[in-house]
Amino acid sequence: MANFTISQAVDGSTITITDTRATPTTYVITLTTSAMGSDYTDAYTLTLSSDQRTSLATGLSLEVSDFENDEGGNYPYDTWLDGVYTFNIDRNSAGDEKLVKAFMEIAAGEVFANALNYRLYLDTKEKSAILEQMRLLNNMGYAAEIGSTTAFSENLELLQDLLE
Amino acid sequence: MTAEELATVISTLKYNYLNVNSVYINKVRIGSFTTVNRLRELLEAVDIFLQILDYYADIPSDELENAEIDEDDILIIIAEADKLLDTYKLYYGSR
Repeated sequence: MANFTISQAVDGSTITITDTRATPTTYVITLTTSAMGSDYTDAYTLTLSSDQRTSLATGLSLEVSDFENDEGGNYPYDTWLDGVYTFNIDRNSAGDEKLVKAFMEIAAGEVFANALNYRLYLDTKEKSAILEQMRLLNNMGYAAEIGSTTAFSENLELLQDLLE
Repeated sequence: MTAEELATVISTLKYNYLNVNSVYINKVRIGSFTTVNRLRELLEAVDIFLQILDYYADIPSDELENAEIDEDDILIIIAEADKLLDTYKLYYGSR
């Protein structure tokens, strides 16, 4: 169990990292993600400033533009896309603490927004589409429960295709 | 059946369910709609069984006597879910 938590905002605009341990002297966050495709392997890093380290206890919100890759490039999207993220935290230069986290807030929001329109009088095709989206979302929950990142990603990819 | 045993069974069924669902996703991708429709029906049935099992697993042990369903029902549901998933076991087992 990691000593910190990370959550995604409902619109993917930020992630919030919370670490309630004593304020660290250094804190470096490195992440890799499958959200941009499985062949995308760039790592993005952020070294927290003093103010940011102080905010960790109550929850520090970070945007994608806060992170840079080895060549100084930014993450190529303006939101935190849904997908599986691997976070490595180096706190006080004590070595990496790893947390694998699955983000699904954007897709979940769209699925429930579509489900608001579910009515008995809709034609079978429309009802089936909504039910299928709900089922895939539910499958992502099962995948997260048993820790299968592969099953999570394949259900997410199909769901994103259906939502397009 | 102990709570731990039930939790293990549920995790195993979910694992197998997701494997069959993986076959389903591949069939969707290649447009094999006859198989897709059959598989979706199967997956929906297993999903209902999984929801029953999750519900039963969440009942506190001191309230189990008063529950609408008992352990015999649960064993039947487990066997039924397993039987349905077994239909595609060779398929995904050989991938």
